This record gives sequence, structure tokens and C-alpha cells, in this order.
Amino acid sequence: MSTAIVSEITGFSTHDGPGIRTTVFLKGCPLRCAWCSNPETWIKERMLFFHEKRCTGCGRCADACLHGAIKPPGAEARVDRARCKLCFECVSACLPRALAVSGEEWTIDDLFRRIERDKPFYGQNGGLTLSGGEPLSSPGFARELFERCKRAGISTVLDTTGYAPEETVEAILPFTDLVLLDLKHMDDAQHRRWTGVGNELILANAERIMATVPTRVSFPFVPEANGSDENVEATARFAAEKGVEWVDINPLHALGAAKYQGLGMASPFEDLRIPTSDEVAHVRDLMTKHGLQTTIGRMM
Amino acid sequence: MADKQFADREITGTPSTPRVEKRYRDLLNEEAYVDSQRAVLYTEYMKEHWNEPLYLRAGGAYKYVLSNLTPKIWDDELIVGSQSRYFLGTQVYPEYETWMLEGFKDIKREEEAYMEGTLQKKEGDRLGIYRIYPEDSAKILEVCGFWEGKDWRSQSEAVLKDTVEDYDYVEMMQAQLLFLRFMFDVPEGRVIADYQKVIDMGVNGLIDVCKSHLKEIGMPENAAEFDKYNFYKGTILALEGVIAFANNYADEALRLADECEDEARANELREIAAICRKVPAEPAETFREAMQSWWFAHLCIFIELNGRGMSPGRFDQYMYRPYLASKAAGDITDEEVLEYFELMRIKCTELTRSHATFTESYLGGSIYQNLTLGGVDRYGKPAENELSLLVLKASINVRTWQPTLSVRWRDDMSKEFKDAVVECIKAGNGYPALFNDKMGTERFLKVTGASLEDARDWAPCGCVDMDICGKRMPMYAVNPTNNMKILELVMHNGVNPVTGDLIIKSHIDFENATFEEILEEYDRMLRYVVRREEEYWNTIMAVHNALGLVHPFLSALLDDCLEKGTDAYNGGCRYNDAAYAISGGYVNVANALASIKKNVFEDKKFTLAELKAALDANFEGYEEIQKLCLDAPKYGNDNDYVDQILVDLYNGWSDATAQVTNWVGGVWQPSTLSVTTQVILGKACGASADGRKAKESLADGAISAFPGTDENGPTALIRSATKVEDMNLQSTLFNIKFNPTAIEGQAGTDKFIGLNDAYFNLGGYQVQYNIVDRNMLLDAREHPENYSDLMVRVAGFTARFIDLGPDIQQQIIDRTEYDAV
Repeated sequence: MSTAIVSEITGFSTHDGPGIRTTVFLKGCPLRCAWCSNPETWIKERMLFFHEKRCTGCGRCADACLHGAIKPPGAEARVDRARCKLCFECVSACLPRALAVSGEEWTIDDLFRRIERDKPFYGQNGGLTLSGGEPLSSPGFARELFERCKRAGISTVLDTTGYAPEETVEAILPFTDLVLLDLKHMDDAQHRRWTGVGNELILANAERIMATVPTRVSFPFVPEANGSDENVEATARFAAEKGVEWVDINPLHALGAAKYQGLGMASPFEDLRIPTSDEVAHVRDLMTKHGLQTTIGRMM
Repeated sequence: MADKQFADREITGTPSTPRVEKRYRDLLNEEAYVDSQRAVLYTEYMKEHWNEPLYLRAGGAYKYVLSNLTPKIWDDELIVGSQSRYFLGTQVYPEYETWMLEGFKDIKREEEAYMEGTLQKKEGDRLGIYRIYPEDSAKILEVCGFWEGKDWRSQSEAVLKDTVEDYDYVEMMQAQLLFLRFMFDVPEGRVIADYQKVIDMGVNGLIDVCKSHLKEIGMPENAAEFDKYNFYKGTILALEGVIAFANNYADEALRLADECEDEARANELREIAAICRKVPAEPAETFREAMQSWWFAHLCIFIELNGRGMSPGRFDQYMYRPYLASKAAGDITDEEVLEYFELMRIKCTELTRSHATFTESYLGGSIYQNLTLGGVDRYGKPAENELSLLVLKASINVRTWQPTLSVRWRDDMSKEFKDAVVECIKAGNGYPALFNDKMGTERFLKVTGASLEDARDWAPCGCVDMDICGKRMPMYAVNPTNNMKILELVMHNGVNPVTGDLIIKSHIDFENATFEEILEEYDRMLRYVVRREEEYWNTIMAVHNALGLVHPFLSALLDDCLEKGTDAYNGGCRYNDAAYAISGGYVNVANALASIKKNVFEDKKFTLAELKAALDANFEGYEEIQKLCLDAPKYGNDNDYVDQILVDLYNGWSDATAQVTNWVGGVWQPSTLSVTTQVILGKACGASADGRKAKESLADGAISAFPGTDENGPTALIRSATKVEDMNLQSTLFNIKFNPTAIEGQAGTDKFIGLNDAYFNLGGYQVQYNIVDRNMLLDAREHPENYSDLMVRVAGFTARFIDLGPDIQQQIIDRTEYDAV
């Protein structure tokens, strides 16, 4: 049976599409955006997460570790990621749940049942939002899940970077009610610089998606990366030309910093500037100038 | 944006006029005082009239008190009437219990007046602490000297000692917090009177009803007729007392008007005098008269009863006729109505009641006035109106902790009303709580056997217990049972592991029992404990009634007392099933049983003996066992494995409470509200098989998850909660906390409405929200001086966050916060 690694399922998700939604975050993403707030979704494999604040320093994890990857309390990097073999013995040993597994394997049957369980909350326009990571990194799973939801009368929203093979996109669109599509940068080189991949495939998919399914553009506003008037206006023009009505502006926030720490990764947020409310308003005004409606934060 | 530490509340309000602003400031800044006046007057009367029939005497004493309490009108008030000479003053009731003898004995100077024996002493807190002047404490001690040994508590205990063979043993069950101590100091309240009678008929109208009954009786020729004769005579005295009370305010208003140099205020005072001269004696014709008439009725009930929880009920319904009349006559605007409602909130918050320390330790400072909006009328038509919206608006503008608001939620309520309700919730004051409109009606039809019209006229009362307005006997409760302690007894073959005392003889050998045997033994011990509590309370209430601790004014406002000629405590009401027992800590019991079932019987990770050893050691040295206990399924995650255990436990609770008939022939009811008892009940318990350490608090509410254990979001929590068969219970209590950003803007409001529609369609009974950022609460704990108006929902009531004890503050902070960012 088809399975996928899920990093999180959020019921009563209010910022991922219309109505009350259940958002499923699938692990795995081909992009490495410099401002990503979900670094646990980059790879499909499960990861070891360490909540340092919860640690009582009992040392049971170090005793349990078969690979000498956990150092006693006080040592600077408590988990030696190079040595860790992801056996998660330490997680079983940890009493205060400071150590945790990030990512859980779900069969499509179980996941569908979980989504269907929230059906009483979906009302007129709520339903499933598939997010990530890049949900189209698990193409067969994503398409099958959407197809099942549609058959059960559950609305489907795809929250995507647009970075996926053309045939993957083609295959899921018939089962998709709304796409929330990221446009991170309109310039190919800049896109590559900030996300690790170019934007050619994304823009080609964007045209295809926008022509087929109602689409809202998500614009992650990161002043240094994509905040120039030139880029904002290029984004707006692109969206407006393709008939998009709404742009959801998501100003950079640093709430994901703790996740980097928990995963033993360097947080990128020290090098990035959080936009001021004036800057956010300016971006909104530019979008509005091109006839687009906007939200700040994607509440819709 | 960059530097913001927490999300602000989206909706804020301020008093709509300078007058309200001034009253509100006074309320936040003044000290509360204990007043001796009522106790002295009542005692004087009883000494003089000791030989009178009880009901006549009760009515006479009440009239004497009301006629002689000093009237006080505070600056710029429009609604007048105070229970005490002191602003925020409280009265005491030594005929119930003379706890003041212990509490007040060492008071010599006012500065020492933060007394033991009443509200908890809390460093730096103001509200919830009473001061007392030395002359008041001296007088109270003197009258307590008279009542000592004659008070209800002493007399009840004498009867129980005389008749209960194992009296000491039941005392021990109380002392060891198997259930909380019987509440003699402030036992009454939790009733919704028929305010409409006062507003529409006037008190004189009620006196006429009594007189026509007296005429029918004529010369009483037997005991039954003489009882009725005294009932109506006593009722008339009480009603005359209420009129005298109002007349004293008319006189006082005129006196102040003559002294007043501000002509505008002098004219206001003259108008107030004219209104007090007319109502509540006569029917209220205008909105202003109706507000004053309602307040006198509410205040006089508060003075009559030694209790809390006397609730305004369906205020937007009974105030509607006079509102429409005044609007049609053009004598009031909605802005003026709003000001009245804001002032009403302040008047309700002035009402305070002191009590013994022990009671305070778990009831908090609240007096639980519950005002209900919306619902349906007697014909089943949606009943929300302009006043419902104005009350919500007033409650955003004036953030007082009384009265709390409840809304009878229906999915076919108008969108305008739903939006206004959510706006008020978003203001972050913890109110209104939402109730399932249809379920309340269905329960009164099914369980109480009420007529459809009466069942539709229900409202939550006190915290969250449902009541029929104006027709059901005042609720009495035996205090919470410690359901976790009962599990401890089961596990220790009937011995309380904390004290080593044998409490209940065990029928099983725990270490060799099957899971089913454990459940059966739990049920057996539960039924035993609850039966003992309820039987005890029946005896205590028999003493209560025999001593004449009855309430003629309240009874006149509860159907069918006047028709039957019998008071509300002796079966006069139309519905008499309002005695109830309260559970405590069931969510932890369910989690503990799930852990035992899984770890011991299914996965065989450890034995019952090992578990017992681990719990006795508070898990020290047994960390593996604690880990397995913590990892076992937890309620609140839509997991049938554990949720079904909770459902079965509550059904067992419902059956256990119904073993006994109450003192007026109704069935004892199962209630589940926690108030704040989860803290004190938890302190009495050792470690438990859900992984909880000794003395830690239990879960709050009745179907709220234990803090931190609901890991799958609000929809899963709601799915768990709605499995409980609320219809079997007189109340449930369900707390959810949201970060303000999760439901921001109109789109957020719409989603939040959808969530509530879904919850109630799934069969939920009650839910209440705290829409406050966790970091804001942490900041408020550090800097209380900046948060004098930060309100939170505690259990079934709203309180100022800074007034709460540290344990309760922590628990509110710990409740899982749903954040959709």
C-alpha cells in the first residue's frame, strides 16, 4: 500500500485555504529556501528532534545510544548528527520527551480516515490542504489522496512550490479545487540563489495550473531576497496576467528558529531581516496597484 | 511586527461614558469590607421572635433586615441598591456556620484585617481579600457567640453523630479529601428566579396573590392549613421588606438630591427617587424602571440567600418588553441602554460574599452570576434580540468579572448575533461560554420530565449547570468527589496510600486482579462513597429546613410555590431534581486506566505490583514505568482506546449519583464541573498510572484534556469530548485556548463559528474559550500591575488573571494553545 512520511497533521488549520481545513505536511522538498520555517520537511527520512528546554539532564539517552552519538549534558552539540544512525533508541529512553522523532509513516488508508474524521468541521468550503515540504515530491500518494477526498466530497487544496515534473502536475489538477502557489522570485538566477533551483519549471507549471484550476499566489516576503519593487511588481504582473485574483503575502517570520536548533542545524534567520509593517504595507500596495486582492498571512 | 512578543487581542473596548469610566475605576481600586449589619439585625430579630412559626419568622426577619440596612448610593450611579454600607461590602450569615469565630478572633486593628478565615491571603493581590473594621469584627464575634452551637452546622453534626454509627469514619473520608468538606458556610444559591414576575406584576401584585390565598384559607383549622397560613403571611412580610428597602433608597436619593450642588445630578437623583418609590412595588412601565426593579429583585435575593450563583438567567428576554415600550415612547436610546448595561455589570461585580478559608481555597473569589443570551422562546423561535447585542457590547466595554455570560448556541442563530458573540469572545475576557441550545431543552424533557415550553426556558446557572428559569428548586451540591482518590483506594486494597488509613474494605486482591475486576471494584467503591455523601446531605438539608433557613422572597419568585403554598426548599417548585453531586479528576482516572489496560494487561510491560511500587515511590527509581505510563494513550486525541473508558466512567458516575432520592423526592443529579478543585484534589493524591506525579493538579474542567496531552489539535480534542454522553449529565465543562492569530479577522470569525457549529452538531454541551496569547499570560504573571483588567475563563466562571493563585495561573498557561500560524 502507498505510504508517505508526514511531518505534521493540523486540524482546524485556518491559514491554509478557505474554511476550516486539515493540513497534512508531507516530508520531502527539492527546494532549500533560505527562509524556510519547516526544515524538518526537507528530507523524506525521519529525523531526530531535540527540545533542549525539556531536557532534565538525566543522561538516560546517552546510555541508550548504541553509537556514541549523544554527549552528556553541558556538551555543546548534544547530538552528534554525524554519528547518529537514526535508530531512535534515545527517544524511547527519554522521559521528559526532550528527544522526539520528527516524521511518521502513514498509509494512505489511515491518512484518509484521519482526514475524513474531521469532515464535520469542514462545512461548506473547508477540507484537506496538502502541504509540505513539496507535496508533489510524493506524486502518486498526493494524487491518490486527492482523488479519494474528491470522491468523498472533501475539498482539496494543494499548497505547492510548483517545482515538479509537468506530468505530476497534470495528474493531480483534475482532483484539485484550489492551488496555493508560491512565487518566490521572478528572476531565474535570483530564484536559484535563494532557493537552490531555478524558476523556469515553476513558471511553466504556474501557467498550466492557473489556466486549469483556481489559484492564489503565495508570496513569501523576504526583504533581502525578493522584496525589491521590481520583483514585487513582476510577480504582480505575472499573477494578474494569468487571471489570478488573490495574492497572499507571507512576511518572513523567525518562528522556525527553534526547529533548526532542535534538528541541530544552523538557523538562517540571523542573516535575514524581518520586514517592518510599513514594508509589508508597501508590498501590499504594489500588489493592489495591479488589481490584485491581498491578505497578509493568508487568512482567507 | 519585528519586536512584538505576543499577539494582541483583536477586539478591545472602553466604557462608553465618563460616568461608567468613573464607576469602573472605583471598582478596580476599592477595597472590599466585611459588614456586620445584616448579621446583627437578623440576630436581633431572632432573639425577639424565637417563639414564632418558622416561616412567619423567616419572612419577618428578612423584612427587618431589609428595612434597616443602611441605604447607600454611590457617586453618579443610575441603578441603585447595595447589600452593604461599604462599597464592595459583604455580609455574613452566622446562623449557618460560625466560622467567623475562628477567622476574626485576632483582629484588633484595621491594618491587621487581612484575616485568616475568609479569602486566602495572597501577597500583592487586592480583590478576593476582605478587610474588616474592628467594630464590625467585634459585633460579628458577639452575634456568633449567640449562634455558636445553635447554627445549622452544629445542629446537623449533632444529628449525624447521634444517628450515623460510623460518623468518625465518614469524617475521615472528608478529612482525607475523598470528597471535599460539606459546605455549610456558603451553601446556597445556584438558582434563577422569575424576575419577570417582579418586573411585570410588581411586588404588590405578588402580595395580592398571597392575600387571595389567605382569604381562601380563612380560619386555619388544622396543621396543614396553619402551615399555609404562615407561608402566605411570611411571604407577605418578605415582600413588604423588599418594598421598604426600595423606599429607603427613594428617601436616600431625595436626601442626596437636596445636598447636591450639581443641578444635573440632583435631577437624576430625584428621578431615581421617583423610580424607587414606584418599583419594584408596582409593574415597571419603562426600561429605566425595569432595570431598577430587576436590580432590587436580584439584590434582595442575594441578601436573602447565603450563597453564590444566583443568576440573572435570560436577561435579554425579560428586559425586552420594557425596552420595546421605552423605544416606542421615544424615552430611551440604544446608547443609553448600553450605559445602563455597563453600569449593570459594575453593580453585579459589587456583590461579594466571604466564606471560610477552606471553601475559598477551591471556589475562587467568584460569586457565579450567570447571564444568558439567545436561545429560543416558548414556541421554539430564535429569541436573540437587540438587547442580546447590547449586553455583548457592554461586556466588551466593561471588563468586569461579573456577571459571566452564556449563549445558547444554535446553528440557525442570525449571522449578526453569531458575529457579535465571537467578537465578544475575541475580546479575550473568557466570556461568553457557549451552550448547546437544543441539548438543554432535550435534557429537561427527558430527564426532568418538564413540559416543552418550560424546557425551552432553560439557562445555565452558577458555573455551567443547567436550570429551568423560575421553576426549579434552588440547586444544592455535595462537593466534588475525588475520583482519582477512589482509584488509589482500589489499587491499595481500600487503603489511602497517602495516610495509610483503611478507608473502604476491598473486595479484590488488586495485585492479582483482572482489568474487569478493577473496573468493577472502582464502580463499587464509587457507588458506596457517593451514596454516603448524598444520604448525609439529605439529613443535613432536613435540618436546614427544620431550622427555618428558608427564603420567602425567592420562593415567591419560583413557580409553583405560591400556588402550592409551599416554599422552594420543601417541594414547592414545579421541578425538584436540583440536588447534585460533582465529580473531580475523571480525565486522569481514564488516562490511568488506559495505561493499566495497555501496559499491564495487553503489552505486559510491568505487573500491577510493579506499578503500585512505582506509584508509591512517586516514580523515583521507576523512570521506565513512568515513561510507559506517559506514553500510554491519552484522552483528547480522538483515540477510542482511552476515550471510551472516560465515556464509561461518566456513565458510571451518572448511575452512581442516581442511587439516592433527594430530600424533596427528586433524583440526585450527576454534575461534573471542576471549579478550581482539580488543584486541591490533586494535592491529596499520590502519583497516578497516567504518569502524573504525586500532588500534581488533575485535569481541569470535565472533558478538557490534561494539560499538554492533547497533541492532535482542537478537532481531535472535540471528537474526544463529544464522545461523552453529555445528555446523562447536568453539566460538563470544556476549556479550549486559542492564540488570537488563529481566528483573526472576519475570515477567522467565520471559521471559528464553523468550529462551534460543528462542536454542537456533534453533541457537545458546553465550551468556553480563552483567546489570549500564552506569552501575554506569562507577562501578566511577571507584571500584574499592567494587567488589572486581563480576564480569563477559569472553570465555569471568569476571573481576573492577577487575582488567581499561582497553581491556577500555571494551569491556564499550560492548557494547550491552538495556534494556526
